[in-house]
Parts: sequence; structure tokens; C-alpha cells
Amino acid sequence: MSVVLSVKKLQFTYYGEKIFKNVNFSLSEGNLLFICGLSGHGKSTLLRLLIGLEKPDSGSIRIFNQDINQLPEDEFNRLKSRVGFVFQNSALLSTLTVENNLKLPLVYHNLASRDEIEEMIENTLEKLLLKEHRHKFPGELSLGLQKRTAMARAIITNPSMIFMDEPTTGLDSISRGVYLSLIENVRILNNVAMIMVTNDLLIAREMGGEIGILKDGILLEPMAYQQLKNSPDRFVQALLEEEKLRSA
Amino acid sequence: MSVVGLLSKLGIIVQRTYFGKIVILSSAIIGSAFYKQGNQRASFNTFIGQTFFTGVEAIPHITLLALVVGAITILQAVTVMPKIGGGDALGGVMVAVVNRELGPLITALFIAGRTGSAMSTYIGNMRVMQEIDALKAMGINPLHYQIMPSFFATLLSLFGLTMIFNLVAIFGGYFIVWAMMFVIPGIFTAQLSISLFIEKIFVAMSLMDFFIGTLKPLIFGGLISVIACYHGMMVNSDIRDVPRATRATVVRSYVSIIIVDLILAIPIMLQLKDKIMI
Repeated sequence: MSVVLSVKKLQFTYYGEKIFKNVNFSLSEGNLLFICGLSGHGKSTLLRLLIGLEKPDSGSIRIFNQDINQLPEDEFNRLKSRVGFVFQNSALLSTLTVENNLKLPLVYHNLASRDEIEEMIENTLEKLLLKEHRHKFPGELSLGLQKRTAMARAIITNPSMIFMDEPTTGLDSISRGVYLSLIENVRILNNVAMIMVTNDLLIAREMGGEIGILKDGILLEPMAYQQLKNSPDRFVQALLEEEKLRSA
Repeated sequence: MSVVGLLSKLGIIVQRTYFGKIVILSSAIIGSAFYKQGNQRASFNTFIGQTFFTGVEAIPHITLLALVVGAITILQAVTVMPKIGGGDALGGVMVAVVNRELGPLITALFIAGRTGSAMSTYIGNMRVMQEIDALKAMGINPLHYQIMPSFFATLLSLFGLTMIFNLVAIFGGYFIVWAMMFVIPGIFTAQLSISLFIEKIFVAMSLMDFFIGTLKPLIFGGLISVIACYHGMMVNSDIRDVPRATRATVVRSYVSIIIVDLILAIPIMLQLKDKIMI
């Protein structure tokens, strides 16, 4: 399996505080990686660095073997059409309908003809159970539907990799279950590599994949949930303890 | 210090000022129109939406405003001018007051309040709601998709609205006064036939008037949209920044428009300097 993302010696300072001292990890095609940790430890910031919304102090981020901080802006923009990003608050364009939110990246990057775009939108809406909401504006949707629309927008370009920031925040248990199973379907059917930032280890346990814990500006070596349980690290054990309490 | 060193130091100082930032943003917006990135259709949709909001939806307000301003100007002119021996100068007054000054100025101030505030609030909210980040994450340049089309839409709309204002103020205003002459006979001492009125307007209109009348709305439109976009983009994730950006947009647009209007009055004054009598 080829590596789609590799991060090496990443350092980042935010308002004078060293958020990342030395972050190293990689992600292969079709794999799932959870980034967990306490609030305010820079989980979302790491995703923002990966998509170029923030610039690192040093280190390299290579997506599909291209260093994103060395790429010219228009090349990086084209590369981003192969990467999906789902924001914690969905960040849908409020003046566009669900359909037009999905259409925008396809039209802007000239990824398909007009007929193909219609077909892609139709399929994606069907996949995420959004067909009856296609003409609604984001403000008219529930939180769960907004999250599904954001997911639909992220997958419409057939990306090879998707970054998701706290995907289940604010969802009730039923919507959460539906949403996670839709994500899992998309991931398996399209063989998409995914990075999911969460402070909910329960999701990581349910969905499988590897878990990387952010601690003191360093990402601990990603490992499966079962391995994590045997970790001698007291911080990891404290997180697991918290997860046990939450699930109980 | 060498001249190049001095100039570069001056450049650094200027770019840190508000004026410098506005100039840099303006250049970036205009530059992005000539630099092909992404499909133009996506940006064109934003342009159409913004033109509809700024231009088309403002027509009723501008028409009403123009009628009132035109009527007031003609009323004052036909009552005051004959008394000071300038009864024949009615056309000149209308061209000078409405076409050169009131038309572009009132339309620009109205649009700064209506569109400028809306634009900075909208972009500010896009920043807070991470919509701008979402565009960037999708590889869509917000400057190209959102800001550049809004800029050109404001330019076009303000130009169109100013032309509408001038026409309605001059002719609509005339008809209101004309109608008043029927309602209250003998109210005015001056003659006010339509053919004479139009003739006076055309005699008074110079090439410079036409040029300034075209240039002013374009400059004001550019100023309003760049100031609005600048303050909108300066909003961080804090929702309290949005009303601050709106306030700054309206205040700074008003001040900038009036200062630029004064600067643009200088070439007209220079052209007419031989005719100025005090």
C-alpha cells in the first residue's frame, strides 16, 4: 500500500506557544488514523496544518509524495481537490443550497462535464441519504444533516484521503450511529484514507484503525486500540480511563 | 542610504498603513481577475448574485432618493437663481450639482451604508463560520471566488445606479417642479419649459463632466468594496469582530468617499479656473 501522507519533524508555534515540538507519522492508502488527545492540545490545528490553512515553523508535510509547503499555490489548490476536509462545524457555504455546495468544488476545478456533475451529485446525495434535502440551505438543516452534507461535499470529488475534525460533536446517539456507519461505508467502498480528530476514544474502538495520541506537542506512535490498552504511558491510561467512564 | 534603500524603506512603511493595505488588496483583486485560476463560472455566479443585490435591488431606493434630491435642487435653483441674476444658469447648476457632485456622492454613500456594511458582515461571518477556510481547504481561492466578483459587481452596480440617479434627479426633479407650477400657479418667477431646460443642461455639460461623472462611481465603487472586503477578511474567529468590521467599513467608506470626492473636484476647478468669479 502506498503512502498518501507523511509528516516529518513538524514544529508549530501558535501565539508564542510551541504547540508541536516534533510530530512524525504517515498514512497509507485506505487506512484510518485517529488523532486523540485533550482539548487545546492542537488536534484541530494539526489538521489545519495538513491542508495548508496554517504554515508550520519547520518540518515537512507530503501529500501524494509532494511537499505541500513547497508547492506553488495553484498546484496545491489542484491537489486539494483530491483531499476532502470535514470541519467540526460543517462550514457549509450558507448562501448555497445543499446541491450547490456539492457542485462548487466540481465546477471550480473543472472535474467533470455538466451531465457528469449532475450524476455525481445524484449518487452522492443518495449515498448520504440527502436526496430530499438537495434544495435546502444549510440554515434549514439539522446538525446531523449539516454534517452529512459536509461529508458529501468532502467525498464528491472522489478524494483519496479525507480529514475529519470531531465528526460526532453535538450529535445524539442515533444520529451519531447513522453518521459513523455512513462514514465507514464511504471509507470501505471508495478505499479512502482517513484521519479523524476526536477526543472520543469510543469511536476509535468502534471503527478500528490506529490511534495516535497527542501529548506535549508530540504524537505518540499510532497503534491499534488493543495495543493502546497495554501502553505503559500514564497519560494514555488516563485517557482510556476517561473513555471507560464516558461509555459507562 | 541609497535611493533604492530609501524607496524600499518607504514602501515598507506605506504598506503597513491603512492606505497601503487598501492599495495592496486592490492590486491583488484586480490582478486576480487577469490570472486564470479555477472555472470562471463559479466566480460569475457570485458576480451575478452581488450585482443583483447591490444594483438591481437598490434601484427603487435610488430612484426615490434621486426624485427628492432633484426636486429640491431645481426648487432651490429656480427660486434663488433669478434673484441673484443667474436665471439662465439653471442647466449649469443642475449639471454641477447633480451630475458632478450629488449623483455620485449620494449614490456612493447610500451603497456604502447598504452594500458595504452587508458585504463586510457577510465576509466576516464567513470567517467566523470557517466558510473561508472551507473554500481554501477545497482549493478554491476566496479572493477569486468571493472577493473579486463582489468588487466588479459593486463597480458596475454603482456606475449604473449613479447614471439612474442623475437621470431621475434631473428629469424627475424637473417634472415634480413642473407639476407644482400647475398646483400653485405663479409660484416661480423663472420660466421653466422642458425644451429650454434640456437645452441648458446640454449647453452646460462639458466633456470633463462626462468623464468625471463616469470616473467617480467607478472609484467610489472600488473603494467601498475593497474597504468592506478588507474589514471582513480581518475578522478572526471572534463573532464580536463582525459588528466592529461593519462599523469600520461604513465609517471609513464615508470618510474615504468624501476625501476622494474633494480630490476629484480639483481637475474640474482647474479646468474652470478662468470662469470662476468670487
